[in-house]
Amino acid sequence: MTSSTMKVGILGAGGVVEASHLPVLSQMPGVRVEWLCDLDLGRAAKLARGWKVPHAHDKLRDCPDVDAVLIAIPVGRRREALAAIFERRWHAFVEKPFATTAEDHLRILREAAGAGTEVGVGLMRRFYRSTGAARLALAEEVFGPVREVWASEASRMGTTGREGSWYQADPSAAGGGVLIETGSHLVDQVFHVLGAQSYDGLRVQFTKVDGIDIEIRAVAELQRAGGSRVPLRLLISRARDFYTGVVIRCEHASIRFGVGPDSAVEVLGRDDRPLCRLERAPGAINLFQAFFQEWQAFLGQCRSRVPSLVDATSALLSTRFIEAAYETGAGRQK
Amino acid sequence: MKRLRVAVTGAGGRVGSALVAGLGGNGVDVVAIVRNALTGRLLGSAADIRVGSVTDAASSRTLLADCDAVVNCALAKGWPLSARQQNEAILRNIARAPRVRVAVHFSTVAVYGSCVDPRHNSFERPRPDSSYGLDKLSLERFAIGLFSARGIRHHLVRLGHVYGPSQWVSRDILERSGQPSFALPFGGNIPSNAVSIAAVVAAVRGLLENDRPSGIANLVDSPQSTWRALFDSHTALLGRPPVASLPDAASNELRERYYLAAGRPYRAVARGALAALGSFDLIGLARLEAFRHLVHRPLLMVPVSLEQATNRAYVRRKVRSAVRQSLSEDAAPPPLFCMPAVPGPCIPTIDASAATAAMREDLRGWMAGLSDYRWDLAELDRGNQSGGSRITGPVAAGREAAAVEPLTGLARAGMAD
Repeated sequence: MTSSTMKVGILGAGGVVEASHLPVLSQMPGVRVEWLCDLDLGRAAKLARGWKVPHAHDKLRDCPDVDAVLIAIPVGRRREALAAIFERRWHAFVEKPFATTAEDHLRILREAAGAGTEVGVGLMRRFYRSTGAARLALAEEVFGPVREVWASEASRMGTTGREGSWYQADPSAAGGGVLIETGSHLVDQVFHVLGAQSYDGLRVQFTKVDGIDIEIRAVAELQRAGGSRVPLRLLISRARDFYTGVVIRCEHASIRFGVGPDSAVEVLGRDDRPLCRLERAPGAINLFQAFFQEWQAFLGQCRSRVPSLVDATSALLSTRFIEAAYETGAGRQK
Repeated sequence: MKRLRVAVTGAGGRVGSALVAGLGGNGVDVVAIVRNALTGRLLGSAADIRVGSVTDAASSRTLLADCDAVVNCALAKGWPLSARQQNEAILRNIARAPRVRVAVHFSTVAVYGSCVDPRHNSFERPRPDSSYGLDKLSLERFAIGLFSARGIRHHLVRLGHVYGPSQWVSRDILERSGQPSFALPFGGNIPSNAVSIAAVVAAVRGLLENDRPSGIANLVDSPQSTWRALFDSHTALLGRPPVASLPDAASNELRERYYLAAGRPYRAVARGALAALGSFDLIGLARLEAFRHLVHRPLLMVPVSLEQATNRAYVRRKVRSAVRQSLSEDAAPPPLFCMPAVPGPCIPTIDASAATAAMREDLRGWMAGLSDYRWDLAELDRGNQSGGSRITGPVAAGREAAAVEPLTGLARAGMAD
């Protein structure tokens, strides 16, 4: 192991760790995963054995020192862990959603700043080719000023393959329902593409089942860097099938892209008919590439101390938006 | 007439949820079985919704205790051996339910292969060329043995490609009809193995209510719809132009390619292996259906203790491959558009045109929702009778935002009904 090798610990041995983070980290040059820590020691040990991670623990205080930690436990259960991590001056890469309130978000940033550590957030959609291409086209105003944005992600939750112990069925652990779970990606993706600086005029409507939001509609006005204002219409649902993607209507044409890494970015005419695609933008075209690139960005930030695309400060506006939406809409009980 | 209590397993799925919605009434009480309470609530049905797993023997005993019939739409997926064991457990638990006298188990037309080549294959002796088809065929045999031994009347339904609101064929047509490069092989003028969800519901109701003898039968539209008719009916509902036709020469070439892959899997694998080795893309080889088909049986022999290690080795390589991946060209139309129509016996169901007409407005509404990104902003206010409030979030950009004060003074206006 060379001196430039980054030692990484992983807190949480759930699905996203097994399916994405561990496979990617195990293939990343200059990175060594030192330990896995989970309340379920058996699961942590099993994953550790499988991925040749030297140690498995069920208590954070037992974990040996590392350079950075991935925090992949539910957002509602992170407070103590984060305090312990900053106390030991480890950099923290936090899975989305980063925080449930802006106050929490800022507190984490302050604690990290006090400890002199870096904090990143796992918002891999920022690395998608489609996101990058759309952001570039809008920044250059290729199609004229932006007039409005429609963003939706909606698919009826169809399979029953989720057991009752699923953390998303517990709002106190998950921090909410579909808005914070799916919306933290979609809202951030839209804000990132548009370069949103603030919002106002937020109106929301929730549909809830058993206290969990399963659908949200929201409208707001975004203010972009440079001062232009853009109406946003947002729909996120796991209760029904609906259009899934982002449409940004500009003065001369619109652009449309999906929410998957391999999504094409289409240019639409005034009547919404596709005219052509923006094909050759850089960026990730599959999930592993996106995870790989976000880890590269975060570890680069840890080394250089220069904010990267995943710097947690950049997600504060999304946190504020989601918090305000929950505060604003008490929701409808089904 | 005695009322029939019918359990639908996999009730949260697309076919399962349609059965839950459509089977009830006329002497049938539906019990919807889901594994997650939230999924159950989303069914929004008058059915008796029960949360639990039919894979588990104890849970299954409770879930199915008072059911006279079961429609099995559940399918475990994952590593071949684990999935096989779970699917067999589901069937075993259904067969052991004390009151069950009728079982409808969904199989698939994939048991015949993805593109049946009359030179190598026949409908009489199915020869799957996919791991999915192999599994389903094996489960059919397992189910027949179990149900016969317990004297349960059983119907194994080789289900065609299901279209209709929320169904994957309709979604596929919607997506393909929006792709300028897509063209239907043979102009779509060959009978399909598609079946409307309305016909599926009608057929299952018929199987439950009539004393049809046990057996295996296909379930496709009656009479069979052509792909052209299906595509045109979908695009017409959206006001889109018909999709283009692939010229006959190109269609024949495409079908021959699928025939070769299905009839001579070793050749397809060899070709894939050469291509994969040439580009060091072993994951490309692993994705080849012919390869998956060939290794399916050996994989079934891999003990569960080894499956995770094997899977992890596969995932490691997959990550390496994914990180190198570049944009690929548009894929060719899949083999189902070239496959000959299945012959009888087919399960009697309602006339295809009547079925299509019955769900026309639902289908139009569902597809319009999927294809139009706009929604009626007035719905926001209709749902929030107390009115909206304007909330302002402070500007927060750059690293100095850590110094920005937390949100204060947020209006707490309740917007609930």
